Amino acid sequence: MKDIDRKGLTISRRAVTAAAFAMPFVPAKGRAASAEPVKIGWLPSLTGALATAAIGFDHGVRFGVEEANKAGGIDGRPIELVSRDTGSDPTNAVNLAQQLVFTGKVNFVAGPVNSGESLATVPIIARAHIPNLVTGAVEELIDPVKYPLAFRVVNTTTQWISVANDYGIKQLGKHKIAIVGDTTGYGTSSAKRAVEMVKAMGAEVVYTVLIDPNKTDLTDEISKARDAGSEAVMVWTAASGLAARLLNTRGDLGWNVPIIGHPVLGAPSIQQLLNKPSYWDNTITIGYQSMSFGPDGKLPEHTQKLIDAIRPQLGSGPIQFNFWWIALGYDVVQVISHAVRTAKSTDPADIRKVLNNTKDFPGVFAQYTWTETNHNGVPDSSMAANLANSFKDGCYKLAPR
Amino acid sequence: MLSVILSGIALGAIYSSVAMVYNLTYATSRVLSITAGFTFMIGGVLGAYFIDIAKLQPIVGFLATLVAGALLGLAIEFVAVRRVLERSDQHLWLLSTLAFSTIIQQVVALTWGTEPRRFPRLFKQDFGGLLDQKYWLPIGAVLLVAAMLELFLRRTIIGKLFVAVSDDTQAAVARGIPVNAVRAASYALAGTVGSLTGFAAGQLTFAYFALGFMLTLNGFIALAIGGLGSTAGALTGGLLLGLLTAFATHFFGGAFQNSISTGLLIILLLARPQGLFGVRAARMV
Amino acid sequence: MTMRALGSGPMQFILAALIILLPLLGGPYAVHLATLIAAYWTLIAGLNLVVGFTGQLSVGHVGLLAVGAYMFAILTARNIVGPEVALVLAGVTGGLCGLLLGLPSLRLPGFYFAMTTLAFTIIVVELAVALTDVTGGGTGVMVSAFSPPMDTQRGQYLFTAGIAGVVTLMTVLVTRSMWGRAMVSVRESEVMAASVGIPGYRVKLAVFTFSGVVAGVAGALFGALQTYITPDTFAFDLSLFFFICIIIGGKGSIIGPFIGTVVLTLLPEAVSPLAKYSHLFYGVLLLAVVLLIPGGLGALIDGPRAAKANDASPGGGLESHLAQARQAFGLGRPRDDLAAAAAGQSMTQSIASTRTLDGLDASQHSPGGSAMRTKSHGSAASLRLPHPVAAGGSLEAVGVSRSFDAVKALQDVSLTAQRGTVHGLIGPNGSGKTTLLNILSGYYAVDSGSVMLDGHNITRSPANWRPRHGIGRTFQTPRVIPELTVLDNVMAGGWSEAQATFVEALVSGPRAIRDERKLRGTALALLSGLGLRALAERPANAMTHAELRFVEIARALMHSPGFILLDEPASGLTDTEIDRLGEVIGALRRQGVGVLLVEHHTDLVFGASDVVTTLNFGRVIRTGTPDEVRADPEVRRVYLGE
Repeated sequence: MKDIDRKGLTISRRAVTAAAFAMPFVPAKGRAASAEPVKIGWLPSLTGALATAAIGFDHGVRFGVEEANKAGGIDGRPIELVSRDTGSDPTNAVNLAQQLVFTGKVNFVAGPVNSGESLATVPIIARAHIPNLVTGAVEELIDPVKYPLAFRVVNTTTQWISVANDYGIKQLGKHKIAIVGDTTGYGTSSAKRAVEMVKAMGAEVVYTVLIDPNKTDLTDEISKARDAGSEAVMVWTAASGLAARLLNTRGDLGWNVPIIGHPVLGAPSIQQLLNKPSYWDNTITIGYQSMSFGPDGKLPEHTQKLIDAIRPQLGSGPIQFNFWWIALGYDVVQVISHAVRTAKSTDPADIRKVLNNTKDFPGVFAQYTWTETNHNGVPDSSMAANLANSFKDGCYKLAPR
Repeated sequence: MLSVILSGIALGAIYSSVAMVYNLTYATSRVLSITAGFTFMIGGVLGAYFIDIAKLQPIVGFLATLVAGALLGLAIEFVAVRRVLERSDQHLWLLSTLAFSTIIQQVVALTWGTEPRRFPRLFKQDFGGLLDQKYWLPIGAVLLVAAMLELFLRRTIIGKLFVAVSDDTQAAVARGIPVNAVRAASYALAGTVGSLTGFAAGQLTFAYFALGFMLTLNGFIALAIGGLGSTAGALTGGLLLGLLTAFATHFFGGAFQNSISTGLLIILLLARPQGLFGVRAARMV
Repeated sequence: MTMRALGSGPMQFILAALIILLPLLGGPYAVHLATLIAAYWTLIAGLNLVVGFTGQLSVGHVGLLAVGAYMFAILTARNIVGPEVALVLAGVTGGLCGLLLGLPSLRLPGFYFAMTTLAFTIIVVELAVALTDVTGGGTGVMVSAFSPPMDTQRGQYLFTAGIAGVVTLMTVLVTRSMWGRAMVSVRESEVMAASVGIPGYRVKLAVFTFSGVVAGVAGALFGALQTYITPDTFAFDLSLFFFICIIIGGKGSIIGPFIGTVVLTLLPEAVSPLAKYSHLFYGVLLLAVVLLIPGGLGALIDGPRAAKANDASPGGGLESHLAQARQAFGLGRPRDDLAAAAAGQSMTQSIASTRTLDGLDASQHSPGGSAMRTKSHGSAASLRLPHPVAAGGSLEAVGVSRSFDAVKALQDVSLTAQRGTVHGLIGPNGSGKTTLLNILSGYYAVDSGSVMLDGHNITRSPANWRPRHGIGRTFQTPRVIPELTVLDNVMAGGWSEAQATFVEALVSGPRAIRDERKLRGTALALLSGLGLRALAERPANAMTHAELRFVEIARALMHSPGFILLDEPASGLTDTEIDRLGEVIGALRRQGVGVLLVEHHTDLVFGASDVVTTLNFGRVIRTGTPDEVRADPEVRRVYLGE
């Protein structure tokens, strides 16, 4: 930590005076390889509109680094984390990515956490030939040809949508679907994609609407969805206010239709916004096998172990946000350790080779597999449908199959 | 269709209340304060804080919110308006109130959080239906406030002072009216009105830090429709905008919602800059 | 801001080149930040003309930035045109949007305008999300790089910085032209601007459209730097950021906002652990600047030194040359804002007090120390109009009535002022003198009746049309631009004589240079004629009240008016100064100008006028020679107090 602070200080001095532009870099190479730290640049959006998830990711990353360093680092090389808050602003994220790859001389960049920022940073990091662990879900982020060093450690938006469709259409047998998105970039593009995918599965989209995330009253939209004969409502928004209002309106209208969609439907922050606890019933949120309680009421072993280990750092009580955020952050460090350890180097070409040939690497969040042509590391089998109202310790019960 | 109308009216009531906040500050200072929507937001956030977190009785929490709103109004007047009016530069108040609004919003974001939070149910009532208090509380509050304001401005001494100051500040100074005190009082009243309606509409809007900015804009559109300085105009403008928004989303969905309302603003300002109830300003020199 | 064209050019160019090359010494990160600053500054330089010089508070420029960026990205992504053509088209689109947005909104008062620009930004961002097929919706679009050699990081930087440099130069040139004076006039007082024939709306529209063009170009540069844009990139916060850079830099300065842009772009990079507080910090910073240093950095850099320069002997001394050089570079305003504001206020108050006392001789209330520094030039004999005035003809009010709410300010008032005569207009306070003057100069509409100029009905022509057709005026309280020199203030009156278009002024074309030379000569001649030549290079805020009255007259004479309407020109003047004023009025009369003299100072009015009209309660009670009017019993009763 001390090291990071010192780094931060040098950077601030560099930036404030124009003369500092001329300051030469301290060359990163040339020191003894064994003592040389593995530098991870990390770009969470700890503040701003998209902070909540990133704070979770950040806990996981920090815990992973701490644990690895306590165990002697990666083959004796300590991990140095260089973390920069993007403030949820893409322009800022681009600046900070430049800073990390050029001034910070990092060996890896992880993040930014959300897609809007990642879309801008991925090409830049690719151009600098630095391995990039992508934590955003938008499809376009990954392209093994254009960005050969970008590897996704999270699911894609399509995977989320297909889990929802799969559950609603195949499992519940609903064939008349209403699709609700919000008017943000994420909501608009996801809703559009969802419509295509539902149709491709042979079901009928009877109603589709985009709603301003701050719209105060959804009676009109929900009534229309009902009048259109919808048998299931798919919700694609990351706004907890809109999600809660959808659930409240469904409840107030006494319409017992399954609502299926984005993980925000199961976020604990929804609970306090609901008119009645029962309004959370019959709501399916997209989650992960690794974060789901089995029929025996137990979590997978890896997950439980990490929860127990990290709980003291989070205030010892029950975990109050989605645990997969932490698990994913933690896995970022595990994947990097695995790559460096296997490659015995931080050379980007070596790292790429290792990751391209990684099969079923056991992380807490998922078992990752990357190949030459597929850089989306999370397999479909890792995904799960959860009961939204079953939140406990950051995890959920599986929806009945 | 009834639900669309009702939701439009409730939304319109919210815009009307912000328009009235603008009117109050404009009356005594000729300042259209950007803080207008933010006093409303504060009403919701503080109401939720006092009742849900500080565990005050709803009525006590309500009164505490009003007091806090009045204090905020005083602070706005003292910090962002009074010193600026002493200078001749006509644009400075826009900047100072913009700065003050940013500060309010960021302090709320840092202390209260950026996620919307629950506003408590004020009266025992089953949820849902057209009679739900979440619609009728803001509508009732705004009608009440409008009636009280009209009575206040026409019938009470302080209200008449407001009018005197707004008609001719220099003449008011010459007649020995304490203009600074009257202006401070109008800002305190504006803060109270904003926080009162923000409190009343809390169940509809949730307690959410980002409300202020959109309300400042939409409240202004309501004001521009109705015409500056008129309570009837504020009510009508808010109602029209609320209904327009509700029907626009009903027919076209939300994707162009803001384009429709702000497009209306631009067209309206082109056609009738003084609003429906306003009078064209005459004096220039 | 002095208007001499590029006096100290070479030094400035070398300095600018050094500033541009400096970041190349740093690494890629420094170059990246410098490119970002250059792209931002391209926009801010244009916005600065809108906000800092013309006084229009646009908070919507992030919308124009988005339009440019999307235009560039879409055109290049679909291979419709090459990146350089797309850059130009981005500028064209930005300019068109600026024009379309400005057309309705620039007619509106400040707050309305600000809100309309905000509305525009919201619409742009909403459309960027909604029109998925064109813009890529929420997932955004990839932005192409420029062609070689601008595709490398350094090449891109030099290209961006070069454009920023050209835009900066344009803004420097335009602010030193007639258009620059027009912009500042509009900012300080649209009424004053109209009184010298400046069409405020057209000026605002030209400036705003230009800012749209450069914002569009900046959008393309910014997009190419970002390599990927989504609607989230164009958050409203960015508009706030641009705005704060300018406010911190100070109005009417170019270097100030530039420093603001550099500092505020680098600051978040420097203190990234405090990112959480960055917006709060912007709010506090903006409030602090507005409350504590409303002149911004520009004033802070220049304030004390300029004040010292003002005390230097007029027309000479190293100090004042330095001050001019600084002004030429746009280094803020040579004055202490607070002091000037306070002085302005006390002036207004003293005038208000003379008016409430209803004194016939206001001169005894003149602010202390206002003896004019003009003694060396004895008379106004050398005062010559720039062009001779056509002989004969009249300016008439015919049966004019006007009410304000319930107050009938004028009822069926007729008055005929002839060229080559002085027409006095007297009456008690509130009798409608100034209202009539405002109707004649086009600021008020009539309820009934008409205004005729040489037999043509001009009742409906706007205020800024009248100076261009020979009707000039002054104001009860002199309205000048405090931070400009006396010379520039007078030159501002020459709008109708200048020929260069806005675009010519941007590139300092031959006509713009010719205009400057001509107006400068005219203004200096007028100042000499009024005995103010020695004060030409001093800032107006260093002038006494009396001097400002004569500066206003000089400004009104710039377009050789056939009629000049003087609104209480003697108020606040000493007896000596009033004598001088009498001489000036006489000189104008001899040259065929028709003078309408609204005045309380009876000696001046009855001494100088050929005809006197007396108003009471909005009605004419007597028109006649001074002797006839003085002898009229009703005039004596209501006005002379007998």
